[in-house]
This record gives sequence, structure tokens and C-alpha cells, in this order.
Amino acid sequence: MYTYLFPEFLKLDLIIWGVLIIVFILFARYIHKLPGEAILKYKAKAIENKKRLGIKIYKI
Amino acid sequence: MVVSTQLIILIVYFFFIIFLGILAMKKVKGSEDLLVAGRSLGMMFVSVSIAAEYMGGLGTIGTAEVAFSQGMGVIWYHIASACGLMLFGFAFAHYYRKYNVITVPEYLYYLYDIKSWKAASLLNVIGYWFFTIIQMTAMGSLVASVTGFDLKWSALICGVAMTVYLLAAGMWSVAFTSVAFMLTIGSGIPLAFWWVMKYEIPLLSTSGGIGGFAGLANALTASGLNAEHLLSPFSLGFMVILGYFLGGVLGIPAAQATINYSFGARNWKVARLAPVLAAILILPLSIWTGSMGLYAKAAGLTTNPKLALGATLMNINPIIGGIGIAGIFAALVSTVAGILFGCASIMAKDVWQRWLHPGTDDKYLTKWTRLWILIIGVSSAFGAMTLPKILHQAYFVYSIRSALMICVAFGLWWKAAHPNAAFWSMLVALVGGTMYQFSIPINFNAFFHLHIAIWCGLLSFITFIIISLFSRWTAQTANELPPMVYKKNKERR
Repeated sequence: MYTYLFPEFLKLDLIIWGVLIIVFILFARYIHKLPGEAILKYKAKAIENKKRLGIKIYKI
Repeated sequence: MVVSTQLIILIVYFFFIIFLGILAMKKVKGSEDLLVAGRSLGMMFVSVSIAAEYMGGLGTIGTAEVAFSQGMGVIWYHIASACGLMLFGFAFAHYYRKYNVITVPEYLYYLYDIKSWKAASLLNVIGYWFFTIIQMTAMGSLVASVTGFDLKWSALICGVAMTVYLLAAGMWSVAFTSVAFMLTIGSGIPLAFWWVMKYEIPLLSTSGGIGGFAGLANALTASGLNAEHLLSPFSLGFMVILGYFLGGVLGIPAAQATINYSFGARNWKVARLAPVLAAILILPLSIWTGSMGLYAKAAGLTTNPKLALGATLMNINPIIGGIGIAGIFAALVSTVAGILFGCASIMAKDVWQRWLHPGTDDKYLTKWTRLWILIIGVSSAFGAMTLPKILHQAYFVYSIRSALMICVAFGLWWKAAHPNAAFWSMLVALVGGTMYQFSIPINFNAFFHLHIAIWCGLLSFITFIIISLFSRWTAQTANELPPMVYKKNKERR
């Protein structure tokens, strides 16, 4: 007789699911706290490259 | 034709979907509404659409097939996919959304130059076109197995119905129906899983009258199989699990069909967060489908692994089975819709408007987008009906998305990323992928045992680094100006 009623892989998967939900909640809180214009602070490498090359940059 | 309860549920569901798609029609006023739902999708619509698109035939019928022949190790498929989606959410989504892109090739234009953008557009259109044909065939075969219709006609009917529903409202149609899909997938498949575990397994004479995985293990052992191995989460071996992870990470961040809902997000915060929620939604799917695949094996319902899930659902309580089949059908429809829609948006926006007819204005773009949905949809439906199996192999072009992902990642985070490198790495991935797929001149697969998407990603990774290091930056690099139409559009806004 096997004792597979609550098998190892189900436990593993539940752990991963739990971790994911925690990550989601933390990430949601983090994102929520960022100011709306925080996106502008992220470096846009495309613009950097084009500036370096002296290529005309179109406003995005 | 056999009229079963499952069939009636499926037909009712089918019309319900088309009705929902057409209901979304009044939301469409311009091309932006059609292509990215006016960039006004909220958290629920985006995350559910991404998850529903990702749960396709491979994630349902495919995982049951693997579990049927190789055991429960298949649960890693969705864990790996969830990792890929999380990576996209954490590291890529806000960049795409910030640039207000509609397609992935368009983003390559911002990162590199015109030739990488054109190459990426072409490769994407070809790859997704073939992939649409394959997914329509898969949908047709599910319908054929339930209705007893001819496979070819089922494929044609499904394909045409999908086209009609996308024509109505584009991304709005998909977003509307995705919620219905998610409810069907999220209730039908776990419900069927629960039913199988609780009521069907004890009925097997070999299970010892107990339910759950214990009964399943007994039944598997009684069929002369190694239950311990089949129920182990590591039954597929380390290399296959690693392959799933690489495939998820390489495949998702530049897969137009999966991520374009993020482009339609209301703001960048939603665009970032929604893929993470989608990752949570898709995670448990392969436990349910995998267990039902194993049940099909233990009960001896079929010998064909591809039919494992369908056979299980047709053999249990007809109402539960019908809801389960509607769930698989929903998974297939949402994938076909996503891929067909992704292909049509690249065709209309990149190839048609930007590249071939830069003068096309918004009103005509809406018409052209609809026309391209119609052309691609109907031709794929006919393709699913008539194309010989061998041509289906051409879908490997779809694996080129791993090369696109390499280009996007390098463009974002590597200062020395050179436009020539982006172009050539895509080309090398295409040529290398062709050689790999068709074993020219030798059978590479026998040596490397890699999935083709990983192979393409690896090739483009190496090519990218080498060409970037040896290419010089001059004022002539990437000196082509963007098509004027884009500037005009932006000024008008």
C-alpha cells in the first residue's frame, strides 16, 4: 500500500504557489508605493544609444 | 455524429464565446482600440488574458500527454512558465509599456535600427502564421474527438469562427472572452480533476477501492508500472526540467501573442504586475491535467498519449466531463485567438503600415487590421484543413522568439549591443533553426538533445556577443530615420 494521499510533488507545488503569492503581494506593494512618474527614471538604453550616435530621437 | 452531453455543453459554450466577442464591438472606435484595446485594460483583464493565452493546447493536452507516458515530472512545465512570466513582469514589461509599443518588432526598432525591425517583423509574421495553423488543427482535433465530425471540417469551422470573433473587436474581444475562459479553465479542469480523484479512481478494480493518489498508485502498480517513478516530481530527469526553465525564460519575454495584453494595460504599473498574477494563475494547471493523464493510463482508456486527457473527460460523469472539455476548448481558443491576433497586429502595424504603406492613416489602419485578421484567419483555417503534416514542421520559425528575447535583453542592458548584432543573430537563429529542425546536414538533435527554442536562443546569444564585440560604432550605424508616419501620429496625439 502506498501513502500517496498528499504526495511530495503536491507539497512542492503548494510551496512554490505560496512563494509566488507572497512575491506578488510584496511586488504589488512595492509598485503601488512608487510615484506615477517613476517610469521616467528608468534608463532608456535605446535613447542613450541613439544619443551617443547622434541620431535624431523621436519623442516617445 | 454522436450527440452527447459533452457535445451540447461545448456547442452552447462556442456560441457564448462568439456572442461575447461581438458584444465587445461597440468599444472599438479607432485602430488603437482594435490593436491594444485603447491602452485601457485593467489588472483583471490583462492578467487573465495573459494566463488564458498561455494555457494552450501544449499546456493542457500536451502536459497530460507527457504525464501519460513519462509521469508527473511534467508539473515543472508550468512552474517554469510561471518563472518566465515573472521575469517578463519584473524586468521587461515596463520598458515595453513606456515606449507605447504595439508589437515586439516595433520595440526592436527603438532599441536598434530599421533592418532589425524589418527582419523581426517578417520572422514573427511567418512563425505565428504557421503556429496559427497548428493551433487550429489542434482545436479541430479536439472538436472532432467530441463530435465525431471529420477532422478537416472541424478545423475549418473552428478557424472561421475564431476569425469572426476577432474581427469584431480585436483585443477587446479577447479581453472580454478571456474572463469567461479563465472561469471555464479554472473551474472545469480542477473540477474534473477532483471528480477523477474522488469518484473515478475508487471505481477502478485495481485501485483497492481508495481514491486520491494512493488509489492511482495502486492502479498503476497493478498495470505493471513503476508508480513511485511515475508519481515523482522528478520523473522527467534534470535535463528536461532545465529545458522547461530555459524555454519559459527565453520564450515569454518577447512572445508577441502572450505579452501584447501587457501593451494594452492602463498604465505601466498594471503592465508590470499583471504578468506576475498570471504566473500564479497558470501554476497548478499541470498537476490537474497530468493527474488526469495518469488516470487515463491506469484505467487503460487509450493507448495514444495525445488522447489521454480527452479520453478521461469523455469517460467520467458527462456534465463534469463536458465542463472540463469546455475548459480545454477555452484554453485552445484563447491561444488561437492570441496568436492569430498577434500575427495580424504585426502584419498590419509593422509590415503593412510602417513598412509598405507609411501613408496609411488611422481610419484605414483599422480596416487593414481587420482585413489582415480575415486573411490570416481564413488562410490558416484552410491551411489547417488541407496542409500536409510535413509543412507543420515549419512552425519552428516560432522558436525564433527566443532570439528576439536575446536581442531585447541585450538592447536593454548591454551598452555595447550593436544593431548589426541584432540583425545577424536573428538571421543565424533562423538558419541554424532550419538546419536543426530538418537535420541538415547532420542530425543535431541526436548530439545536443536541446529543444529548438533553446537551440535558437543559444545560437543568437553567441552570435550577438561576437558581432557586438567586433562591430564598430560609427555615425552611419543605424542612421535610417523612422518612417514619417510615426512622427505624425505622435504629434497628433
